[in-house]
Amino acid sequence: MRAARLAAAVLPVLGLAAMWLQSDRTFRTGTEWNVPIEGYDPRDYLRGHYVEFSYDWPGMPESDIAPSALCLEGEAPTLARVTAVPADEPCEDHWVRSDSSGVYGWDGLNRGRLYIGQDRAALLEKELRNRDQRGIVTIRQREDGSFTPVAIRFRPLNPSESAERDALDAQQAEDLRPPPAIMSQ
Amino acid sequence: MSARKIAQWHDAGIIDAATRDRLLAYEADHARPLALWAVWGIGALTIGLGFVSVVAANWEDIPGLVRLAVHLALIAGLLGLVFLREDRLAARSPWTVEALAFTAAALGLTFFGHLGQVYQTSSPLWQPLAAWLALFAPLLLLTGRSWPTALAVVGGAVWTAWEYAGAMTDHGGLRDPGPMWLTWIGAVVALPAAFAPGAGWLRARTLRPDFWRRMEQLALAYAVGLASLACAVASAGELDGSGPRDGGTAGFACGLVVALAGLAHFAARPGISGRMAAAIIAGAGVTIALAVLTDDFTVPAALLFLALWAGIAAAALAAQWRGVFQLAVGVIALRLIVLSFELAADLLTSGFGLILSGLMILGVAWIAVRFSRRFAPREEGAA
Repeated sequence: MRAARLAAAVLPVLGLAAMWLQSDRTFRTGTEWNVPIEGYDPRDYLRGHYVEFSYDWPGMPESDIAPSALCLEGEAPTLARVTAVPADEPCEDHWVRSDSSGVYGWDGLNRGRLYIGQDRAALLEKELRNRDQRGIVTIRQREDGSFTPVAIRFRPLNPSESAERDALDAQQAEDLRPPPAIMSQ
Repeated sequence: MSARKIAQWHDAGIIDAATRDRLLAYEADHARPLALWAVWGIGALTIGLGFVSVVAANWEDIPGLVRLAVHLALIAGLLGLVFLREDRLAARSPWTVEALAFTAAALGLTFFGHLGQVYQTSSPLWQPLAAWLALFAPLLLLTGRSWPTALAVVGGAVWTAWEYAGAMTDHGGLRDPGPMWLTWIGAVVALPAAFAPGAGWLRARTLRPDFWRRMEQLALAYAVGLASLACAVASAGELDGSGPRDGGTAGFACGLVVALAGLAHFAARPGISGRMAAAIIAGAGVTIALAVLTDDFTVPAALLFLALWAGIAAAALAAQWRGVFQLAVGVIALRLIVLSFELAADLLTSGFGLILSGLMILGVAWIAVRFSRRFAPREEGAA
């Protein structure tokens, strides 16, 4: 009986410590890449104390279908471009895949979250609203294709990005113009 | 009873000095400092809540390693205290051990959230819940003294089962899960009810009968809650499809497992009280399976619900459980009132209809109170 009680008292500590070790080891391994992010919805992306964001993988065509795996090209941590690949035949070097058991499931290559402190969450919320900046998330990518976002930062838009944004704004303004008089009758 | 009263009785000549001293000595030995225990409990709860919000605030000024180390050291300290001093603490007040074990388990649960914050891991909720249950259930089962730890074990199991069922069926969005899969999900949802026979068997064979009685009661309450939920969902016509709540196959499997737990309970705890508890659990299982057949039929689903609770009232009469009997009568009265609204919702649109419904509610309530007073068993037995 004493042995059983000792085991019951030691088991939680050992189990939690083992999970801690495992999380720590996974977190520290991997190659770091900088991935631009976008599409944050000011009403939705800050729930509690994490930021939620959409990845804006360079070189990915706009599509509704979420890719299951991506090949990363470039000199880490600078990501040049990505290509969608089937998850069962990934590329040689660096690749990431969506984790079906993660919070976002098959959508894990589109969306991600990063836990941060509550003071920084308030600051980041302001930063994310500033449209003259670009959000960059650093991910740590591992050999098995799993990855973890580890940091978030902002940089000013470069000239081509601000031109692209202005063009998008102009197009939206055009879409919102009132219809011609003949059609509004 | 206060010492002041005893002194007054002595002064009034009702008791002699020897009786007064014996009474005072008895009271001193059997004092239950309820207020003190309540203050202890509130203090422990406040510290626990405070710790949770400190963790949730994700204080970045303190490095993650230090935070996690302090967190784990706290858990280890509490567990060490429970292991080394359990008997001595329990002799003074069983609630101390109860509070220590419960706090350690609560800190253990927040440790998973803490790990997720520091290492940016995010997994479906059932995984940390299942890991927590596997790590802490042995401790809670071995040291539990009363309902808080029993609630932690049964509640943790129920929460894990439902989170698992929800995640595995994509929260009702999974298309075409096979019958095997639905059977498995239904059985998992029913599993917490299986604590009942085990706890019933251990009640007579352990030094902590109060803890195992609470475990048995909570598991029984879960079985009855599941059956009531199945009837309510069936009466709303939502019991088909693929979710854990709304699946014909899953419902059958769930009912079967609960009914089997009831049968095992017959063998586990003989005696009138044990047999009646077993009958309620088995009845709840049968109700869950039958609810599948009454899907989208308002009256049969309501009748099934009423039959379940009439059975519970009968069992309570047989086993002399006053509180349970009164609860069952109250639930039946409420269901009748709800049923009348389901069948004649248009009554509510006219003033006359409203008056009629009000009179009917008063009538049902009056009959229920009279019935309960007239037939309720006298003394409070143990469920």
